[in-house]
Amino acid sequence: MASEVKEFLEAVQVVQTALFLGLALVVGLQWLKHRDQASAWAAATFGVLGAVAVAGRFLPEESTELVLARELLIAVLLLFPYLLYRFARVFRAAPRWIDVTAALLTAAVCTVIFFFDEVPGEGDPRPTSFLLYSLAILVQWAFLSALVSVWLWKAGSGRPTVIRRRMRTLSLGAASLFAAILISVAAGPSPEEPGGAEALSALVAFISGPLFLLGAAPPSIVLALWRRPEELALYEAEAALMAATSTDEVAQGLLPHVARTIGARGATLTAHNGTELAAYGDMSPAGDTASAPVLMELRSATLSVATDSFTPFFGREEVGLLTRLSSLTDVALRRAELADRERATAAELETANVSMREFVAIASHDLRTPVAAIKGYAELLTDGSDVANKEFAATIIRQADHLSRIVDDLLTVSRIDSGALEPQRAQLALREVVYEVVADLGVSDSTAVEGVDGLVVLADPDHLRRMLRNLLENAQNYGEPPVEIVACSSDGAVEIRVCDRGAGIAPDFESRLFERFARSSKAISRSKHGTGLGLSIVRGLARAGGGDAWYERRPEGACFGVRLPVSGGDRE
Amino acid sequence: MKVLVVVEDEEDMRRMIFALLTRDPRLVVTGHATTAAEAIEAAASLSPGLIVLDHFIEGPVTGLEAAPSLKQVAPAAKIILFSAHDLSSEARRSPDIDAYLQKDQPQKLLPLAQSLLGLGPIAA
Repeated sequence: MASEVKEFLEAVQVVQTALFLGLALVVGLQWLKHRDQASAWAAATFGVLGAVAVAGRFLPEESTELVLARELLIAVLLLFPYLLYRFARVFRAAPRWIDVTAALLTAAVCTVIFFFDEVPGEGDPRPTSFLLYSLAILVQWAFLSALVSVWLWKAGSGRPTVIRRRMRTLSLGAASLFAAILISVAAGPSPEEPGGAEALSALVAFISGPLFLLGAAPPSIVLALWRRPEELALYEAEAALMAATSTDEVAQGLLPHVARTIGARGATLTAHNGTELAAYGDMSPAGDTASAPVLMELRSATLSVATDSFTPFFGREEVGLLTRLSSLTDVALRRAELADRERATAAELETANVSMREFVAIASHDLRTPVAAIKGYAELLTDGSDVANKEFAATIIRQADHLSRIVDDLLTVSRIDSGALEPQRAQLALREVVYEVVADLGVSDSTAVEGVDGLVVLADPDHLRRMLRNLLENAQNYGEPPVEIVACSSDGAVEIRVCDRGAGIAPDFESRLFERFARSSKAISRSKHGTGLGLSIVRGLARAGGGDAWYERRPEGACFGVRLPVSGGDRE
Repeated sequence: MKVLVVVEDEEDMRRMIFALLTRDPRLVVTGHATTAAEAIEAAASLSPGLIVLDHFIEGPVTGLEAAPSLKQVAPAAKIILFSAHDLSSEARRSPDIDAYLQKDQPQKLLPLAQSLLGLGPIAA
């Protein structure tokens, strides 16, 4: 049984030595990579542990000629708790008396060992002086280990998972190593055959190895497992950034998650011109654990994260996660900027449209009123008996009518452009409206109407009359009789075609038919009364009412169509 | 004789309307107003057969807004909304407006008034 325990202990010590050596190498590489104070003290601390573990394996236990070597080994081992204390001191301040006490205690125990002629081996009796010395070692180790354990354990509260677990596993490692020493000292001199206490001490000491490794230099797979709660926060942050449509939303989606990921007290997003875009939490220095903020330069802003002294060492990998967010934040900020500009442009456009609508309302009154007065008084002049004056008055009325039509056309086009049209749609019997317009224009004799019976359209009555009037006037002015108005149902709408038998539209002018102020040379020569807005108005009114207008090439003449929605009352 | 009231705040327009309507000797314009309040008072006291009502008149109340009150004090009066603005939709929606005519068609004012008052054209 005792030999089995001995073999087990031997195996444990071999593995432990490998662990401590591996830990020393890993932490040493960390220091070579980062070259900061915390890494330096960590490298020293675990380097000492690794060196002692390896040296202890090769130092013969029974040799009396290597007393100095064993004493040196003990002295170096006794440096471990002090170095661990100095490592913890990088992260927080301590009262001066603790610094002095730690240094003096360590100096004392490291020095006194050399005054012993020999170090009692396993099974050797322990003289009183050595027992007192052992007590001093216990006090030194307990004092420093307890201090570090409590500091690291308490400091882990409220931190992201990775940082918290690293700090607390280090804390547990220090505590377990002290516990191993305590068990060993309490058990007394080692018997020739190893017993339960020695096994327990070895096991507890062994546990410290993986705990130190997980705390000081956890492998990536462990980090990934520990990081899972914060990974969810990162995914949420990425989703929030993808959905953000304003700088505010970007900041709100980014800052809380950044703070949560690395346990920051606060974070700010500042544009490169110095404007603070958003702030979260508290950016003020945090007492005795103050540390410079972590800065991350984005393309259009700077992310500043208020951390404390623990974060650069324990949260190093978590800070690296922020780069994952930074490129996404750049894209989100750019998109938000574009969205902000789009909103500003839309607001400007709306303001311009409102101004245009106000102008149309004012111009409508201010232009039409004088025209009305001109026509009205001219109308009164026609009552006179003088023939010449009557002719002059008739001319005034004719020209005033022309002016009135131009004003009407311009105001209608302005309304179409500014979206101020507001069609008042109603169910209209197409037959009535068509015959009314034909009669108004006095073109009944030269116009054939077909297919309008029983058709009902959903349209603004004034707009429909205007469209029909414009098309009929065009047909009369630029085409040849007879003019045909043909209506039919088609795919849930009503199509009205106004066709003449004239020369039609020149092919090179077809594409410009519905443009503003577009008039073919033939139209200009035949009629001096057009503004070139008629067809543009027809299409604008048709589209505002949910329909459309178009031109159809025919073998003979020109044919214009208007499509209007129906209300459900089709041909009987 | 049909009594008419003209509600129009522009002097030139008011004279034009007066001259256009009185071409028919059967019509007499006995009252005119420049504000809604004056129009209501005139309508109440004169009980006109026809009111020619502009929309943008002096004061805070527009012609369309005054129409219900005018009908209340003169229920028998026909109201023509005679405006430079395109108010055809609003006029259609208002039960108190009997007809709408845009000001750039003044030649239609007399025939419209005669029609609403049940009068035929003047004999030549």
